[in-house]
Amino acid sequence: MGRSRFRSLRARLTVLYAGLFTAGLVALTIFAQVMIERSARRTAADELAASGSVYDRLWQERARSLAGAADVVARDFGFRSAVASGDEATIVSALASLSARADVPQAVLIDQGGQVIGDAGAAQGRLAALSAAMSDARRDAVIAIGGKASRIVTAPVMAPIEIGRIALIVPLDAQEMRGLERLSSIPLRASVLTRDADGWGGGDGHVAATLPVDTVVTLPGASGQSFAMLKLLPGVASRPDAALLLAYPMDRAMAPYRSIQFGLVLAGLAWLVLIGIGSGRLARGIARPIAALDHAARRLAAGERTEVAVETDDEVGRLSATFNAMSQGIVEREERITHLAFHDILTDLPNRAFFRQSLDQEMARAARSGERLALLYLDLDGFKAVNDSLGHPAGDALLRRVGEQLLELSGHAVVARLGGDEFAIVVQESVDRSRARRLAHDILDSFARPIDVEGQTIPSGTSIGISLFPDDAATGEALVKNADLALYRAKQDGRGVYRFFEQSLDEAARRRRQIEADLRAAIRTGGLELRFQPIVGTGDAVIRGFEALLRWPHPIEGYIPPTEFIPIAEETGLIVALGEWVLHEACRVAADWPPHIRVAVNVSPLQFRAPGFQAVVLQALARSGIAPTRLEIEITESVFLDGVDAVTDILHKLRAMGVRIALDDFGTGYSSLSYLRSFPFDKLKIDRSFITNIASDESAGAIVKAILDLAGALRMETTAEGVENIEQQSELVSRGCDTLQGYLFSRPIDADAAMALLALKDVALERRVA
Amino acid sequence: MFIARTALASLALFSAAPAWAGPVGIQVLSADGQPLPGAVVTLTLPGTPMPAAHGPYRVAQRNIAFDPRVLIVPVGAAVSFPNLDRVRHHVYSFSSARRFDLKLYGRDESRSVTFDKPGAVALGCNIHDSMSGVIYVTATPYAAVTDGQGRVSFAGVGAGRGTLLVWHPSIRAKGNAVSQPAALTGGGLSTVVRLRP
Repeated sequence: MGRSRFRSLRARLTVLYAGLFTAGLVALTIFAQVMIERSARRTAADELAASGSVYDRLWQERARSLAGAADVVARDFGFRSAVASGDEATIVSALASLSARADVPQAVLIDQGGQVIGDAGAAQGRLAALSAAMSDARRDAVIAIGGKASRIVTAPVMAPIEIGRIALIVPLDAQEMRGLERLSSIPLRASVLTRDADGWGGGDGHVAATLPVDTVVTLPGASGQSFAMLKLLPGVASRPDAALLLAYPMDRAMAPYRSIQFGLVLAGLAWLVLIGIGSGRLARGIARPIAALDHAARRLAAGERTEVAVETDDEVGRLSATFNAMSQGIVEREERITHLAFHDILTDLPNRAFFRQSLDQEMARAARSGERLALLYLDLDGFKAVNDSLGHPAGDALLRRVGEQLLELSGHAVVARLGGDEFAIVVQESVDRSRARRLAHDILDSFARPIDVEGQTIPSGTSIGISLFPDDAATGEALVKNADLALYRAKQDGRGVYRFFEQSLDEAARRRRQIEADLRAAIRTGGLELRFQPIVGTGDAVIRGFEALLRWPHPIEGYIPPTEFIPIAEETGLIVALGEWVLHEACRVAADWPPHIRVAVNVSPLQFRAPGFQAVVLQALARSGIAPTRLEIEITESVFLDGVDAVTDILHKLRAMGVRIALDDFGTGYSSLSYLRSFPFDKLKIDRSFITNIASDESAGAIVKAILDLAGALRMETTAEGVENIEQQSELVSRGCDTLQGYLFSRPIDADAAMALLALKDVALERRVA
Repeated sequence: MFIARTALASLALFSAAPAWAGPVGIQVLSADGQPLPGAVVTLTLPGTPMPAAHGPYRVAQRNIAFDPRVLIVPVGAAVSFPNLDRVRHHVYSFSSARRFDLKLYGRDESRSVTFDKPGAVALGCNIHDSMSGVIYVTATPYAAVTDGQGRVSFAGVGAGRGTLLVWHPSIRAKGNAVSQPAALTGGGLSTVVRLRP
């Protein structure tokens, strides 16, 4: 069966079953028809044969009946008397009455002399000879005259010897035959044939002389075939003149069977229809579960969730069950994948993608109902330190705990982990913004306490930025950005606080982005400058070195203070490239200076921790050719915020290279003295805030004194920053500070000016001021 | 046969012709070649005198049959028909030679009929179809009934030309008889008459 011929299993099964059944049915029907036909023929032949013998009897009966009628007359005394006396008139009248009584057209008397008395019609001439030829026993003969057969029945007239014979002449015409036919049990056609040149003719046609006698044969005829039997009718002589042909028309013989055959065909057709319907149903029964499976599989392929009914215990049923299990497995895996795609594995909270979707939905819903939403953006403070110091498992556990806690605190709100230590919460906000505020408070309070994670107590804290919909933004993206800005602001404002978004934050952010872009361009095009501020000896005010200070002459806005663009450079990572440039530039400039003049370069914590910082330092030294001891790296205490060990490691490596390390802005910030223990700095730079009031404020003076004592004890050099007047200088001199830096001696100056200053060999700078 | 012999005897008595023919023997065969007994054979010669009646002639009815079956009588003879049976008989004849009708008569009754014309007179009983007999009235002395061999013989027959006639009920011809010319010489006559079918 061709692949292309049937698109469905059902059609194929239907055709197969229907074909098989039909073939069987047709074979059976043909067999039955043949058997019926044969049986019918045999039966018809038997009937015909039986009818043939019945005809024989009828024939003889008729002969007896006629002869009896004639005998009555022949034995009548008066008739005999008339015959003996030749009383022709009496004879004729008696014969007429016989003819009428016996219903025979002609009755005649043949006397002993062969004379025929009465009208014998066409047989007249032959009767005498006929009578003479017939023996005494024969009473009956059939003769043919001119193609017409007549039956002659005789009765002798005895007186008491035979004196004549009565002859009844019965033409074997149609009427006579019909009479015979009526006596038959089957619808026969009887006809009398007379001998002709080559067989038997007349009546219903012509048959050959060779036709067997008293045997049923099949004859063709004008009105179709018929069963036929030829019976010879005894004539006068041994050779009969006529024969009786009994014909049983085939259509009439077969008529009873035709209805059976027709019925059989009809039943066959009905059966065929049933076969068609049954095959269709059977095929559907078999194919339906498979078609259902096929359909279900297509739907499954199209991504629909689908199952098929398991109706049976057979292979199809098991296949269906397996399919359902497979389908179920696929659905579950899909759900799992979907869940993974939209959830954070660690905390099982919605991830950023899911959060964004949820946010959009919440916003759409809120927009419809006129509600207000609050988006809380959270960032754990100091999470990196946890990861670094306690390891990632602890960090992960902390994140899980944080997630649980946020869920707990926020009730039914959407809580998502956006990545790293960032979380977001969407809540329905009340009109007075109190709900977001309350939640922020709760979160901050909750996180103010250390969190117990895996048996460890981890100090935690978080900053929160909050933006409101629809107040702060119309789109999800903007809402997220604004919350992020608020978070940024909270971080800037010292962590552990929450901030609502304000429009100014947005403007500040925009400016930051502008500055970032311009700064990136400045780094690329060399739009930055270095200024150098002299560091002089306390006693002689002679220049010992310069601190390199970065200046950015913005083409439009003029000089932008480092306090503005350095944080931006730090946030954006530009600080690395910026710092690298500064290092190179400072070293390059310093290379022209006398070999005892040092150059101090500020390095931001980000730059310091950036991989390859030592290589950068080495490169700057190598390219400029200055001695490592002339380079002084200034770092602030904040470099230690993200871990002490890693920083000291780098410091030691720099120290090993010969580079000097100065601790800048000492006295502010953490001012943990433990740092001083962890690394032997070359220099402490005392923050300008102590110097400004050193003369007037005793406590400031005390602190400076303490610092100087500390440095002296630790054998560290000291530099006082922001020295602006003589009082300060003299105070510092009296307290034993090593070097000074400030406007009292010089503003930061460009490289040329620094060179010119250095040309005045060993000039004390205070003179200029003075 | 007794009657036949009587007849022959009477023939011999009347043989007074001047020229005598030899012995005459005739056999009658039926159409199928079998000897035909019971047939009446007559030989008629011109000049032969009429036989005289020697009565009494009698055809009795005994045991529902005529006795004798065949009786040859000369013309003019009277024949009585005594009924020896216990039943009645109705003897008749439709023959043209002598038509008569003896209505029912009983035992030991007798009727008498005179036959004055030559020819076969077929006797029947209207009551008993099976009864059949014949009285053959002849004008010639040479008449006899064939024996079991279908034979008759005549003696003392004069020479000359005559007619030989055979009568038998089975002969399908006018008068149930066939005749043929017969030439009687000194050597007599010996012939076989075969009837046609």
